[in-house]
Amino acid sequence: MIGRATRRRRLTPYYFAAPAVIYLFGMWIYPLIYSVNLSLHQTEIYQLMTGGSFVGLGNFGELFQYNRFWNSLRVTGILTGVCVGTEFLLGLGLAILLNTAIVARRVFRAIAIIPLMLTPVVLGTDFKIMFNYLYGVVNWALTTVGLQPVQWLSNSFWAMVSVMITEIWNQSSFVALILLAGLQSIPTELYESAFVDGANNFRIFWSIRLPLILPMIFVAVFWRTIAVFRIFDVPYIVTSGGPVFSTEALSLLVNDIGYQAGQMGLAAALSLIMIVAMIAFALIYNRFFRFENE
Amino acid sequence: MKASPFAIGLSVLLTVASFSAFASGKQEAPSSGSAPRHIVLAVFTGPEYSNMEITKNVFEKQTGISITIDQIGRSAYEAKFTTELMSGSHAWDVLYLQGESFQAMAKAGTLHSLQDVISKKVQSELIPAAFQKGYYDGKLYALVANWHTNYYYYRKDLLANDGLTPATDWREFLTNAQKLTGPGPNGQQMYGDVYRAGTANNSIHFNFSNYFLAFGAKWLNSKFQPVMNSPQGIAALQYYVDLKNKYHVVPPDVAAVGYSELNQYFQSGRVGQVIQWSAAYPVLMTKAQSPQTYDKTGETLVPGHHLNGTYVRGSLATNDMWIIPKASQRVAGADAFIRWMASAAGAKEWAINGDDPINSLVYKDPEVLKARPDYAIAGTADQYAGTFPALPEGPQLLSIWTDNLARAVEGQITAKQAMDTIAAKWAVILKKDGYYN
Repeated sequence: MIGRATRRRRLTPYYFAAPAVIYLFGMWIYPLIYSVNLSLHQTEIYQLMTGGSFVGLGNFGELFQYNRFWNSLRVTGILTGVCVGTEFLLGLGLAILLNTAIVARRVFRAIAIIPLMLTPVVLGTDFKIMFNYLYGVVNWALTTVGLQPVQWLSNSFWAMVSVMITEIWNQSSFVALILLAGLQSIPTELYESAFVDGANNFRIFWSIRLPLILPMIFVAVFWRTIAVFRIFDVPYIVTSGGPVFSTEALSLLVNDIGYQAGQMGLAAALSLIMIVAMIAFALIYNRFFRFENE
Repeated sequence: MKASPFAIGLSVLLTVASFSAFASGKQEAPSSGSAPRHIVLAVFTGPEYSNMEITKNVFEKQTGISITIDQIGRSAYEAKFTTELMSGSHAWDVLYLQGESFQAMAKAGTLHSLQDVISKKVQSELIPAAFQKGYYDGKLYALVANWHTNYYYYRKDLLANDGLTPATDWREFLTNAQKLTGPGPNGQQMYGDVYRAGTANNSIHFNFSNYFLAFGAKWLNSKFQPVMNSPQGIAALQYYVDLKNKYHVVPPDVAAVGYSELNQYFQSGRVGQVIQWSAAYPVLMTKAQSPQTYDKTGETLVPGHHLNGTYVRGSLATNDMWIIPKASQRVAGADAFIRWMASAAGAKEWAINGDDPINSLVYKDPEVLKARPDYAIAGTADQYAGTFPALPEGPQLLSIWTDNLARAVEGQITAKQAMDTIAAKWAVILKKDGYYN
């Protein structure tokens, strides 16, 4: 028979875990269950309190026939691929630069993380003003050197470029910081040995640095892919998903369907599709890029 | 290890603290008997907030009830108030509600009735067409806060330079626009018009719908059947599209132009004509906000259209509203606010500071007319103003309307395809919801 003291001892961890569990349930599990239920009903915005009619997987079927869904999927895919790829390359370059023994390295490191200090709304608003066709500083610079002004926010192609530039400018530092941590953890003896063996800089980078920071690259690419896939703030502020949905990422479509068009059930269904997609990506990514500790 | 009372107490404290993190803030106890001395009012950023910051001082002096204003970003406003109202939050006592969402929020049962708040005497002073907008299912739930319509603003000097006069119809408007478009005095490109063509916050709707109504088109007939794809409706959209894609008299970035950008084009002297809200009058026609152009700008009614030998006029009006959330715990104070804003005293302050109340007495008040010279045409403009269909399905219908208009302006579909698509999609929704068979 278990004594009272033993029972109390066994329950202590649960007391400490209780706040976190309550938070998890309240902020994640319950909303998820509610969202799943909502996605199975055709619920207009004014039916949120009373509930809509049950349609099973009807909302999902409607989404797959919705042109804007496929457009948003395409936009999100392009944003994810280009932004993550560019952020990785720029971040790697920046990390290598910041890892080099240059004068005022600490100052450069501080400057490099300034983009991360800006909130997305401030960032998006600033870039939106800079990209303004009429009075933006970017077009001013272009016209000053004799080039034509660009419709950064009102042309489908350039609007995507504007969103990408804004996001890449903001987050390359994040990637750089992660990779810098990896570079700094490489023992210097490895470089010394490589130099002694006659390896050049490229060889050192390719055969020593890159393999040893691969776990960091894995982490950075993984987190940035998830973040860009569910991007909302930057395209919302800079282009509002326009012109004519050319920069409408999936999260913006969720917002538009839910709050603009008042189709809450449909919006919930799209949210779930996004969640499933991200989970699938995480599982596949981990499966193929798992690193085992030596 | 023995479980200490300290550990248990700390766990309980942390649990309670985590619950309190979800609390929506300090709440006053519901009033019992006398009106509360304080209410919270929510409004989006922009001229309405600026106005309220001034008007509330007069309200506080006259009633003894203080107001805290919760200013919310315009682009996030719809999502914010939908969430707050639907969740039954006590955060606000009065809300500035966008007219397009009124029917949906009323149908959802989130609004407090105003049935006995405004006296019969004051009701008789209110513009009838506007006052009726606050009714849902036979009961009053809102007081229209702003009965904005649109004006035709123009540069007197630019028109005069080219021997032009303010347009009275759309043919003249186009002729003016074509002559005004070209290199300006400073070598910068000038345009004959600028309009909104984006989908963000239904931007294109707020400009195009003036052209639509002024061409004599309608959204629905008396049986709630969609008729926007009439010859007049298609012609209006074709005209709008041609301004950009055929005649090139509007800037190429109209898809990114919103209310502020439209004003900026005009204020910077790059545009000769524009259809813009009456609320833009202080922005475009005062020295403080448009030092370069205010004294060269004129305003008149939106151009009309010759339709089958008849001259028709039309313009878009919106009817944003004051409502009291059903969950408000200071209803008496909120009622006092609504009562005051409906009265001539409150409406006068609201009007002097830049907005357009629906108490007709203010449009004859000498002090108001001195502060608001644009009111000289407001009464006439209001006669021709029309509003978007006020239905609970409004947000969904508006989204379909906006999306297809934008596609047409971008050249993805023709004007006819756009209007036909809108009509077909609206028909599905309206039939499903039983408006007609």
